[in-house]
Amino acid sequence: MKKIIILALAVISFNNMHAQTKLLTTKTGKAWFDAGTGIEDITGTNKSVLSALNPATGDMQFSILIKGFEFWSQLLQEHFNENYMESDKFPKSTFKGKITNLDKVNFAKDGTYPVIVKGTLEIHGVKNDVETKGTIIVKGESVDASSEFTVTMDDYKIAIPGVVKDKLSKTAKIKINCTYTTSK
Amino acid sequence: MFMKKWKKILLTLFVIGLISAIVVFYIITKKPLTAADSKPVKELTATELFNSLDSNFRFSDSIFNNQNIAVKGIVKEIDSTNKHVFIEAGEAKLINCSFDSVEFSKIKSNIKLGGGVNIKGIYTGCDGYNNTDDGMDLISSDKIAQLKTCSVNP
Repeated sequence: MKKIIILALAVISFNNMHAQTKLLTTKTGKAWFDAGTGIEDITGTNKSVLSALNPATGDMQFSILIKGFEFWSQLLQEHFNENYMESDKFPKSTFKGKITNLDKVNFAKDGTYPVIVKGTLEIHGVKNDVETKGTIIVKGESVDASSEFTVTMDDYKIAIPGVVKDKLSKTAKIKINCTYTTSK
Repeated sequence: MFMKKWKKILLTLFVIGLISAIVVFYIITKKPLTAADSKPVKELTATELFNSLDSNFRFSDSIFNNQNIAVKGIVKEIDSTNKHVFIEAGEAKLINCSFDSVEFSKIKSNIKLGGGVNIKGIYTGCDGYNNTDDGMDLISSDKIAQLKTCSVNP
């Protein structure tokens, strides 16, 4: 009987470990930005963010196609792609980094875990090291990761024409939200 | 006589100014193209789309860029929470079709996994080409073409 219990515990532990180490992915993450000064709505949303999270190592990666952003206005979409982001030259934005306080996250237990993520963010062909706070919510089979941070246009060589400097901020607020499932 | 002439000039300038303001207002507030608002410029199967991208990615990507294209294929995945339908396009190839709530509600009861579907959407690019250049080794190497503002192609 004891042997059966020990064996059962070993199997459960193995399954838990295995669940924790399997790569988590999503193809439908969301990214939202706001680069307005309050005079005009300069926001865009992308609903097809690719992301992967390795719960064993804390490695996180994001990839966003710039042309996938949706706007309220055709003109804003054109300016965003052609003038600011030059999406023909730089079609993607990426992040490659890591959760630095992984020991505080238990992917096997439902809960809300504040995290710190550090890595390299590439926008408009320019890479910068960044560090930001985020939240991981574990609920059953799914893991939800979200973060809000600010980027400075100058840091990514995004030029703001003088004509629109009153409408377009020198910084942009960005929100990312991804709901991961275990990679098949 | 002199006043009448000036009145005419002022009236003309006023009308020109008004028309210009209307045109500028229209341009500024014009909504982006959505698939539901327009007919697709190209109709093809999921396989044909990727054959085109595989043969010359830069050229095909630029041809389809920001165009309303209709794609036929088999449903591989349905993400009802985030309103996406993924169409199978071959080994490690998918088409990600994203919908708004209204358009997704029109399609969701008529699609099923493994079933055929005909969806139109605005092509925004394809991930998976040149992934090795950007070091995204955790993200799947699947090639995923993306269509936004999708709707059913009647």
